[in-house]
Amino acid sequence: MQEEKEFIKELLNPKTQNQAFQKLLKEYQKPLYNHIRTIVFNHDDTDDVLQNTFVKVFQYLNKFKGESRLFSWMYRIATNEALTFLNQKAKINGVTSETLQNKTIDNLKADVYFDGNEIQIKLQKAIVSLPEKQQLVFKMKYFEELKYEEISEILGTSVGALKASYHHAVKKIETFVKTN
Amino acid sequence: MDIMKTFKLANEPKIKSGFIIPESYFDHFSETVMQQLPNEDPKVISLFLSRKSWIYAAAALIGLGLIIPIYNGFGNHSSEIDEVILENYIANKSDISDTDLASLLDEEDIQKMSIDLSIEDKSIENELSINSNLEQYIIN
Repeated sequence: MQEEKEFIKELLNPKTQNQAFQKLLKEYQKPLYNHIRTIVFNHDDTDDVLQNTFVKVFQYLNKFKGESRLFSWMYRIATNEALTFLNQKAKINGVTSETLQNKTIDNLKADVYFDGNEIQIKLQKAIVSLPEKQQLVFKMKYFEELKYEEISEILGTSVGALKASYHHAVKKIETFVKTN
Repeated sequence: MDIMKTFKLANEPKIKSGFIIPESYFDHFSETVMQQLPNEDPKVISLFLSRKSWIYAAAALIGLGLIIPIYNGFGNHSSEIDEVILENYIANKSDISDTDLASLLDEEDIQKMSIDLSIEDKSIENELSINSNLEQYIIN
């Protein structure tokens, strides 16, 4: 924690800012890419959202109060950016967010940056049928393999509630796969 | 198909997301982001009015246009000019000569202005005899 405080000071100091921010980029670009990709699905959209996320992180660094860890604060920004992006894209296309996500999943078969079989596509469709919060919990636990404590910090939900949410999500996904 | 009927996520081998990151994507990613970061340059304020400012200016003008006639309507009920102001105006206006004024008077006005000086000769003599400035009056 002390180490993180020192690192934040470096990020805020104009003399060390650039170097510190590059270090931040190197450390978080991959995990945040994976997090955003599970929400928006295709690579180009993920690239846009990831860039915006880091620009926002830089802009709001001086407002970061250190109440949470840097990693969870950045994940929150990435989640908000990805969800906002999805909603705006759905609005532009005049469809609901769920319809847009289903359409994007249907297009995954032709996506050069997707290597998956029928069960992987079915799993993605099953996830989209869940409420937004359950989708996030499931993706962060199952695909990104984050700990409940980490997800709790990011989403501001208790560990108990997250476990219950994940359990419900798994049950619904199993039912979806069996019946579709 | 039978597998689907008995599908249990915990019993299945881990299903990967299937998303592939393009090769060498992260090689230049940090540079791309660093180029987009805002610089701490001083803000440039345009000398020209923004669109928003034009709208405010137009709204203010319309507001004034509505308020002025209303204000005038409430503040001035009489169309008559104050006599004192008029007199002062005429007195102070040096380019209006007596001839100009006289030309504006009609017969009736002159009648109103005439003063009946029915003073007896005796009274005049009396007044003159006690007035020490008589000589001065004659000279003038």
